[in-house]
Amino acid sequence: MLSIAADQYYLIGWKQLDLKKIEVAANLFPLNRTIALGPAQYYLVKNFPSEEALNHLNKGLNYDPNAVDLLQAKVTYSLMLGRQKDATEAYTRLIKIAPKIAEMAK
Amino acid sequence: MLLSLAIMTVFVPGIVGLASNTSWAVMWLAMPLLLLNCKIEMTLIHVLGLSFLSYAALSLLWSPHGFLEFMQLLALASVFVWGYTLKDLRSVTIGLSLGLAVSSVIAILQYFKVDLPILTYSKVSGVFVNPNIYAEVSGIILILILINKLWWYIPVTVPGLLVSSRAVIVGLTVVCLAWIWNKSKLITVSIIGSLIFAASFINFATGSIYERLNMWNDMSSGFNVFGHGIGSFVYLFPDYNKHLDTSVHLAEYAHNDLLQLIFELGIGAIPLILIVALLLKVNNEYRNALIFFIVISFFGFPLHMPATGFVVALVAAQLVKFSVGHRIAFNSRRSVLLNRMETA
Repeated sequence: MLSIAADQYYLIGWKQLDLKKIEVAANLFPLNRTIALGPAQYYLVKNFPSEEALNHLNKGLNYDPNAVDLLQAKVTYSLMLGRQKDATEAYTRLIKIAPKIAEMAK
Repeated sequence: MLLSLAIMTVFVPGIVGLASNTSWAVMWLAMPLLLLNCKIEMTLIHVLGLSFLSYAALSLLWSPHGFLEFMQLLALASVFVWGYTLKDLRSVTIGLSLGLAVSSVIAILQYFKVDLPILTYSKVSGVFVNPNIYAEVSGIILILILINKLWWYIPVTVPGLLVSSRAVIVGLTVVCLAWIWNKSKLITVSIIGSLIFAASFINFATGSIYERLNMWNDMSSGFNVFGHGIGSFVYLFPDYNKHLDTSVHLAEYAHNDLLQLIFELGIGAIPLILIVALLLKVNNEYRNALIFFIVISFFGFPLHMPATGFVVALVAAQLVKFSVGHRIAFNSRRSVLLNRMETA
């Protein structure tokens, strides 16, 4: 029942681009990776760096440290917010798990 | 019949989200109710299945997030137990076929690019989103239809088979060869020879084949004795990835159920491998459905899809039932003979 409810919140949340609904979905059914990472991916879609966005990206990365899309966003947002150390840390992790990105960087 | 119809139709992307397949939720809700009236008779396969599930449960201790996948396995195990109590799969096959008919109608509309208000994706895939999954479901249901001689339902599988999934073509070819093998070994061998000869002219070195070979090669470096835990593949594969561009593709499945199970469960996958090996020995028509499932699971992830998982759990149950029924019949014949010998 929780998975069905979360699924509905997730669907409507993305249709309306409503973070609260995506967060409700993530809280209702965190067992599903896609739903659990929804709030972090919301900030990825919004494509606007902020402290709040970084917090959500970090929460998402706590759930899945190997989420390449979130790591990429963390590198970009951290750089734009002047957090060089965080950006370097995320980039080091990123090139380790995404070899194609490392190739491009070379 | 209603359950199988529901499993085929409740996942309609657009009405439900794409994030989780609601067919699993249907199984989670329906199976406990259906199992209330089931009398569970333990066989060797039940014991092996239970040990497989127990190991999967234990592996939750070291898996990053495996509870969802474990629940899916639990649902399939429940379907197996329930399927063991069914007389045959005729009504289930009718339900599955009716459900597939819905997808086939949608697929035809998708093919002709008819604007659908609900299904916004353009690929010909019914409600299955992925054309390969649609083809796999169509293939396994076709086999059930043929086994149950429900000829009128064959047309519902045609649109799915026309999607031209390579795994499904190979799967159906292998099933045909297995069937012909029982009739004439010589003809089978000559057909295999001709197929190999014909295949030598086809260029199989496409991007997706290389991609999968690389993926399997990379993931094999992550194999260990106890596995990484159920449901761990999507979270841990990037640690071993050397070839796949993970910034573009999310490796959610290994596209080979056996390798994924070994990656996740290590030695814990052995009971399931034993179950499959034992069931392949059972001489019954449902074995063809199992053979098809094995072939497609070498290229895809049918164990992780509710429709194909549901079907194979039922097929396995029927195979166990047949083997047990066969043994009981044999034993009773033997006891009659022994009685006669004693009285003589």
